[in-house]
Amino acid sequence: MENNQDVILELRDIVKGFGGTPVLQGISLCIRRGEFITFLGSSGCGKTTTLRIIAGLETPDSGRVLLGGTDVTDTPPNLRDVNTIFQNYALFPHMNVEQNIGYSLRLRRVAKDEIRRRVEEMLRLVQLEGFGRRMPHELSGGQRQRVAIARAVINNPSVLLLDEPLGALDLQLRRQMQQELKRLQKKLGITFLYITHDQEEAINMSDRIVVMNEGRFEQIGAPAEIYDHPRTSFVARFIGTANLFTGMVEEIRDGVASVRLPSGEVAYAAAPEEGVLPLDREATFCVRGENILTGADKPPFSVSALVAENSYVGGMLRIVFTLPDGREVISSRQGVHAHIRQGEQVSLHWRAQDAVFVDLDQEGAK
Amino acid sequence: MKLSQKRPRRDHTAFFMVLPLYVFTLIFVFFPLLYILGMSFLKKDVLWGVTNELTLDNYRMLFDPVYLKTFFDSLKLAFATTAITTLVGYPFGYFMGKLPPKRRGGLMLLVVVPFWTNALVRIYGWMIILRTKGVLNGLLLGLGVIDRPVKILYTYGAVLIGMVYSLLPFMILPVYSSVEKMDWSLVEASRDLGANAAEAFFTVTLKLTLPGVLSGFVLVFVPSIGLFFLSDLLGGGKIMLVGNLIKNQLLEARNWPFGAALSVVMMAMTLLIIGLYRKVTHSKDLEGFF
Repeated sequence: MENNQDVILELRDIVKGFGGTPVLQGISLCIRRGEFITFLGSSGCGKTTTLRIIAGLETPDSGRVLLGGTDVTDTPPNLRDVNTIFQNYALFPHMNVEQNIGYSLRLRRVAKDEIRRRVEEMLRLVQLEGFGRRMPHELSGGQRQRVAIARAVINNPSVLLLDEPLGALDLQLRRQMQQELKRLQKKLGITFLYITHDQEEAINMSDRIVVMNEGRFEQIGAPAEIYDHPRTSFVARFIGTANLFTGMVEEIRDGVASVRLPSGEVAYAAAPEEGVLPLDREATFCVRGENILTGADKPPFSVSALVAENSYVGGMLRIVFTLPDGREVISSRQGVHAHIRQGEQVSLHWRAQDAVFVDLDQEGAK
Repeated sequence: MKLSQKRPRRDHTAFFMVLPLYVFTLIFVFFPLLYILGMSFLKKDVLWGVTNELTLDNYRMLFDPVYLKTFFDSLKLAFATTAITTLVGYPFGYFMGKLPPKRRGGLMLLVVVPFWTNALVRIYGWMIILRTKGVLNGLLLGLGVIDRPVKILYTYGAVLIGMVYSLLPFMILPVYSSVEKMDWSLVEASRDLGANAAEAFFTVTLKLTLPGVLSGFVLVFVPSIGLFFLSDLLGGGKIMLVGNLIKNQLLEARNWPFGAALSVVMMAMTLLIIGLYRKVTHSKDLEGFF
């Protein structure tokens, strides 16, 4: 599937359990050189375990880890060309900033002058000039974060693993660090494997996102692809606002499927390009909140709903509609929509291509 | 100082609550020490007790080569004891701290149980083991390691064994306490950055558990100067330590002022060691105990 030269890291069917509880249930993945890839999932989905297996801090029960084409499954962490930024930064409290950053070089017995030069260079890179003599406990959270980054990249690892590195920072600092990490990654050309449970972070930073759930990969793809074409209802719900509709597939024509909703109304959705959509069976499709439309003159179809709530959230208008069967549809849109009032009866519709089927049996894929 | 004048009222209640503690300390710790200190500057009376004549002779006497040798021997034994308890106690405390919490309890019990028995009784136990016709010799003969019983009891070695045995928990417990507090992600970080297991231990784990080790040094070294009954029983009275010397001066030679002077010097040594500990670790508390 991918050019072998481009693959820096490969996971082959990794299985791992702790005390009888399965944590990873056979995951496989190829990561390209220089890619920024994010593992996205809620806590306990196995993303940290995956990262620890790649770092060599954990051994998989079965499966292989290949780094630059070499099998490193049984290689101890110190002999892997991979470095980690730990969630709590794990700075050595008994060493100052310089000693922390230069630690790996000292282990490799690099000449003192060389160490000093490269530590200086790193301090400049993470904008901490003049902080070399400080102890970790004298630094702020953001500064500690920078030291952890400098310490991990000084060796120019082929892959940098980042375990929720921004989790402990406040929102503003987090946004700023996101930009900085992205800039750093471009500059150094190191492959970043980033772990987060924050979908916004994942979408902002990644080339590709791996959505994880219960020790499996739900979907792997570019942020836009995952957002626009969620493959499962889990992915649809995890990223962005998802409105899921379930109904009977009645007809498929010209790439458009007609689905009869429980209310008896018929709605349109895009027929899937891959996967099987059987006729006369129930199927679920997803429509993103911003694609829910109201008030067209001649809609191709319409779903009647009641405006239950109407509020501004972060500069966006958020409208909650209630369908006759009591289910909610959440829509968000920009600008003022004075014509939508609470308690009003409206009809909803969407463009067929904005409704994507989820949870289909994948033919041959995955 | 200005602040203390505006103390809120409840501070007075707090003061009266801790007052008994101060009174107790004053009567049972401070005054006796003062008494010993004062006595060390007085002249010995002919039979026993002291005259009210001031003198520095008691301290001058310390420089007698015989007594200097006692101090030297005592310190040598204390250093040996500390070294051995560290070599044995560190690995013990380390592995105990790394055990899953559920399995630590049993080991902890093994370390603490001896404290529930009188120290003398336990030392008599050692005498039975170390005797020429005792358990250890019997075992060694039976295994064919030796063909004639070896004299172990009433030697320097026996005293050392007794010291190490008695003081080992005081090394194990502080080491355990500092290992238990270790943030192991630091060791992982060290391994991740290229350290092998040994390098990670020496650059991270050992450095961060050092407060426990230093605390153990103090807790082992200080009492090992004074445990006179150990050298009395296991050394057969042939090995003279500062503790024995003090006991002899007070009870047998009846030279109270000299015994007091010896005590003051020993106390000064102890304070010096604790002072050093504080200076090195920047901590007022002994790891794992206070």
